[in-house]
Amino acid sequence: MPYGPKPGTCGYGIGNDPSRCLPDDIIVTCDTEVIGPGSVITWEWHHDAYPWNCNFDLMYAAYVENYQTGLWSVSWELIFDNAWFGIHGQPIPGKPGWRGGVVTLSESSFIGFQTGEQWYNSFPLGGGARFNPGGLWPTHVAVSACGYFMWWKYTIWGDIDGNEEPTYANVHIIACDDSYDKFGNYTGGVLPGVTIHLYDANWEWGGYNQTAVTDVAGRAIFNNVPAKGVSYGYYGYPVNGYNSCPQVEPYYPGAGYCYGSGHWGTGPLLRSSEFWCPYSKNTGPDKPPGPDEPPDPGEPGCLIGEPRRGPSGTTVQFRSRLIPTKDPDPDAWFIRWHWDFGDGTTSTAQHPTHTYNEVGFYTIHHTGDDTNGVTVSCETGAGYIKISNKPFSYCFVGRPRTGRAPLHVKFEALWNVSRSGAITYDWDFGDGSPHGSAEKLEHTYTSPGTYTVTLILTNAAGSSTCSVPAYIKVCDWGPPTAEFVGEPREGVETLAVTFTDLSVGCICKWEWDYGDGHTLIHTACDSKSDYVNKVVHVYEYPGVYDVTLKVTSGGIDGYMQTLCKNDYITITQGACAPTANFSGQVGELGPRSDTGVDGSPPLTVIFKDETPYATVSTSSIVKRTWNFGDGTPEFVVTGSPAKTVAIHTYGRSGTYNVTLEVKNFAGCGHRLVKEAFVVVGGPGKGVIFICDSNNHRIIKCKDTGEYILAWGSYGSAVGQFSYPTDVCISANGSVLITDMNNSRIQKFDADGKYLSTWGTLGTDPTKKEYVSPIAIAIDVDGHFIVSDLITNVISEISNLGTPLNQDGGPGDKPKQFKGALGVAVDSWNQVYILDAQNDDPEHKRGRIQGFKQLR
Amino acid sequence: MTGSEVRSPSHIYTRNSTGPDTWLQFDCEWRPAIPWQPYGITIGDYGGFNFIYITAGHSNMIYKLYHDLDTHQFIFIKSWECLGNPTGISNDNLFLYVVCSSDNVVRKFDFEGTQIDEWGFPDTQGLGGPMNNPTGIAVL
Repeated sequence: MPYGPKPGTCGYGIGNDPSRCLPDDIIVTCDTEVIGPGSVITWEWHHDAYPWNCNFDLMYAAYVENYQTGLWSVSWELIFDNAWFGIHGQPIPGKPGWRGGVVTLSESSFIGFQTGEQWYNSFPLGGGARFNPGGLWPTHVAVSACGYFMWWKYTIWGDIDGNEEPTYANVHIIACDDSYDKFGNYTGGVLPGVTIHLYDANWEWGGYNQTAVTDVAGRAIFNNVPAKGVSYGYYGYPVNGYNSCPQVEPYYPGAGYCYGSGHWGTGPLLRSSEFWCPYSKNTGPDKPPGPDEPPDPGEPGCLIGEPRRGPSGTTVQFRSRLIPTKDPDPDAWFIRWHWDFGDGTTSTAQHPTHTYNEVGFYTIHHTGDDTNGVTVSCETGAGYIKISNKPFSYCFVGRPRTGRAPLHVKFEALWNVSRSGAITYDWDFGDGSPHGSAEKLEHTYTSPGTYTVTLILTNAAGSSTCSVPAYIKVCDWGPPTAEFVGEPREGVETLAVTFTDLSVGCICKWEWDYGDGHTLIHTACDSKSDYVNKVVHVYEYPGVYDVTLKVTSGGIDGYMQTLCKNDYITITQGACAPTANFSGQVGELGPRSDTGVDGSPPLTVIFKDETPYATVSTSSIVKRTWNFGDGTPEFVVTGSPAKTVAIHTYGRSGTYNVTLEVKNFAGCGHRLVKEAFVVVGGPGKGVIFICDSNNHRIIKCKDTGEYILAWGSYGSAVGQFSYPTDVCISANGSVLITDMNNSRIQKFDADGKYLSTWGTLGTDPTKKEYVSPIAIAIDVDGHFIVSDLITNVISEISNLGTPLNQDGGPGDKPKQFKGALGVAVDSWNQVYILDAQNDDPEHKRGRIQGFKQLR
Repeated sequence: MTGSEVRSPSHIYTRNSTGPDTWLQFDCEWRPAIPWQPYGITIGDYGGFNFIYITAGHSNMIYKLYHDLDTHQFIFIKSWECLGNPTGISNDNLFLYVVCSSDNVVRKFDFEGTQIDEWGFPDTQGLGGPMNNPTGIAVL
């Protein structure tokens, strides 16, 4: 699926929303459906930006939906070859996947280059993230780069807790370029009125220099080729004559090496940018290897030949991409080149062309002498250039392959070699219908049956046939019948059971529920995977398990049938098994309980493994798996018998079952579920605290109005107040009071016993200074959000009173306040501020502002 | 209530208007169509949604909003009258508790605005004496 140069306008914040891209933008989405155990989906985008090109703001996003529960990880790798660049990456906060999980981007949060610095060597950058299957996992990396060659590789890995079973999801990957969204909003790139210089000092092409000023859309036009702007203010590279600019090179019509105004310029993606859709290593790509094709050695990186395939008489354009040594001259370049084309001929040109007249597979050897006096060499793998007069290797794909009649199938010829010359296609669909003659076409099967599909491809060199028996299966109307057997059905814990699907019908989807909390979804009709009739599941813990298989037939209104076999698998406990137990307590001060805990959200619970002999000798627990029951990922601790504690914060109200699975040193395990162990929210404890402001006291009463106690009096000593205005309760039950006119926050226990004071009079909240703290709330992390009536600064304070973050200030713009009277935090950790006196000039009224917390 | 309005970021917000986002990232804002003076706020977390309850003291009103996380908008749900200049507000996931600063009364509502109970003035004995301008409340 090649993509050519398309000037585009898509920008910062594309996230998972390709609709933000303009129609002429480069937008790539790829879907896959099955990710195998431990396998990867690899998605690559090559920016062959030779000789110099500056691409920036290339947006990549990936998200996963229809996921199967389990852990996923995403990693990416971006390689610049002979490039200097800046790069920064950031995930998108506020999206469901972000909210729900733990996302960390390692490395590359920002890597800039020094002024004039060059990277002559390949420089891989690695990043990784791990996320919860929150229905959406966005990753978003904005790239600013100038260089020879950029290679983007996206890897998504999925598995269910390492059980080595196929994992199901639809994975979408999006890419687009440039810095404007479809609304024309500037989102991170060039501004209007910026001068951009394109410069080419390559003597080979006579040099080139052109200047343009960006228009209101932030685009500069060079030679009628729209350049997309500048990046983030990186200073230009001093011209030394080493670089050539593709601006004057007809083969690469994009803008090239460019500098000026303290910025880097850029050009459109060059025509040789290519894209390959993801494939699963488990199921393999759809492209079968050609019968005459040796393995492709891949691109060596140090040279380019194009085309690499063709019949005898093919002329190949070679381009040198050698990298000079840096020492002692960091600005070294090449002064001599030598090429061995593998057929007994050579050249000393920098970018030679060569015509291959003989059939064969050729290895290219290339060297260059740089100004340091060093000879740099490069050799491709065998068969880098393939000259063959035989017909092309090919095959095809059709989707869907299974379904009820009438079945509409989209066929497409697939290639693994380059195409040239006139080609004809002859499709035989196997059902006696007239043949098709297009590269892509649709065909409708009207009758049930199993059909062989044949594609005959013909060019000047001859013809070749690709035929796949039983490629299409068309079924009768009617529901499928679900059936399966499992073997063995009984055994000691950690038992591997093989389930064999015996279902009958036109089935496209199998959904297994093994009864122990693990599931498996497998699809075949529309995916690249084939039918799998045997699946293996390992039961780790003793118990009697129901097993369910749900089968769904093809078609939009496909039939479903579910078969549940009760008590089908029996797993017995090993002789050495431990007896799991655990307790919980709310906060560090709460009582420890074996039966359950409760409290208001956010509720932080400290769980403790109470399994007997958990930490001694051969009974030591070497694996603990905690399931907190609120949909968050399981917390697994391995190899650390002493790590008996797990801490979890519940952000939302609800009743939660908690599960602890333990495995001891001998390999025996036990699983304990305590139902309704954690109750968050609910009816509460019926206790109310009131700031009786003008009486300078705090009242504690029941929610029926029955008085319990009161404390405080007017003054500035500890335990006294001067107009206390707001109260909130910490995760461990402490009572925090905004003591407004004393410019402080006081902390008490629930009975009014003084605990501590945070803050003094001042305007620097980073030093615990406040003027009139008027409102306070607690967030999901247990931190406190405080608003100051006078400074209008919003502060985040740790549960120990340490200033963490500050934001806001006076004004009437967003995130500015005039009288920030109220503050609240929801269970998504979003902050709400009542901006009471911030009157709209037109309407005269206050407002509420909502914020996401960035960390 | 009529005439409520919703503003989304695209109408009023530019990233550079208040400098770079540091800790708080602006999402959306809302004002009613009639004057108010919001004072207290609490989040009612039930049914899988976050409903926002705001006291508007001098206008003697309580507003119920919903924050749509997908569209980045505050959605006005309803409002109802609460006498006595309501200031502080809290909830226990079952009921709303409001302190009113001018009549020194605590009022208890369900989440739809039906008043369940009230106490305070003139019966101040239950609170250990009369309140005087209560402004904050928290319920466990």
